[in-house]
Amino acid sequence: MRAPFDKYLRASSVMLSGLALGFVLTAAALNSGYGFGPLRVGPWTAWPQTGGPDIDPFARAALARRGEAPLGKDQGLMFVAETDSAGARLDARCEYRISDPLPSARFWTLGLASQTGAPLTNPTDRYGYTSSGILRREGGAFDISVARNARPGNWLSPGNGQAFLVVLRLYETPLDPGARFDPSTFPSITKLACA
Amino acid sequence: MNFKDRAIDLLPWAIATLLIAAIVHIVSILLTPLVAPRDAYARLVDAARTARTAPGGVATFEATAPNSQPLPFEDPMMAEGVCLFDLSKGPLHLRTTVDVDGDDYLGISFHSASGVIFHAMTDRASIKGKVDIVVGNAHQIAELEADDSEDAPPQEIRLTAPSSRGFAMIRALAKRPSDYERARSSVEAIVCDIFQPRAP
Repeated sequence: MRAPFDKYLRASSVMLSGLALGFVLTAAALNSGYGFGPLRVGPWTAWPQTGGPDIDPFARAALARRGEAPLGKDQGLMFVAETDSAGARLDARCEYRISDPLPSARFWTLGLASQTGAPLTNPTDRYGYTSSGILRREGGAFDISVARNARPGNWLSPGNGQAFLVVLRLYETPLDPGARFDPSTFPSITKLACA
Repeated sequence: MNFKDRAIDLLPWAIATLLIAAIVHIVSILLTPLVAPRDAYARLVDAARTARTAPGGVATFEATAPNSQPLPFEDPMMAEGVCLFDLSKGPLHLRTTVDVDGDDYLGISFHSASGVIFHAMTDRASIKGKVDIVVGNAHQIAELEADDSEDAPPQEIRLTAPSSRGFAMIRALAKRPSDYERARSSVEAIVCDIFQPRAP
């Protein structure tokens, strides 16, 4: 015959482990993106449903925890790349080239950010380029060099950190977030060399 | 007692654990937007205290830079301002004083304090270069509609906010770094105040 408090012991351990497991699940959900419906194209990821009133509870929780105010649905879409086009994590010690094409949009901006979404400290105080301000080759094509040391043409410095993100914002784009996209219609991020 | 009996004995406890975990998970996700201490609204309330407030009532921030950014993941190429609102003091009236020419991007999005965007627009949606928006709770909007006369349609766009507190985020694109001050002045040219119905 079991001791009479055995069941109480079990019940309280069930309570505690259920509580712990629940919080672990919540922490995991909040750290992995913004809820449901990510739009992934090559290395780029956007979360189109964060911009409207039909946002899901997971996305709301993730935005509230990080303190972000996303772009509205009709305003634009923010794409973030954590890796280069080959799938390797972006590393500030390496050099990259970002080249077009870009999906159509009224304006776009392309810049670098830390993993927490802050602009990166760099000697030139330039954090990105806009579709109007970028230097283009004849015919309109362009590319951007990402390197710690100055490069001719469009150049962004990832600063002295290690990991960084490339952030592409398409303002007033006719892209349909529900469609599937060919990665070749988005900018490519090519690793050139590593220090 | 063999292994199978023991597993059957523990099964209800395992199910109970999973059920509790699921409930804790769902409740904590739903509560996060209400209790998160550093959500966008809280950060903007803080930032607006030290920001420059334009005569029209928009708090404008310094250019987003590594050591000065009102919120994470904001575009450094945007001049930004915010109107915080509390509808218990009356409906918010947001309008442009300078005509929007349609050459430069100007985005205005309305967020509830708990993080839902209930309306977002750009300068493309302006009416003859003007933006004129009234945000109220359901009661205030119904009151405004009751006062409408048949032959004079309302000038402004009316929005019903899901919660009484929130903010309007205003972003103007600086196409080149040298355009920043111009973009900032178009943010400052927006007026946010408490809506006063026109006298009949």
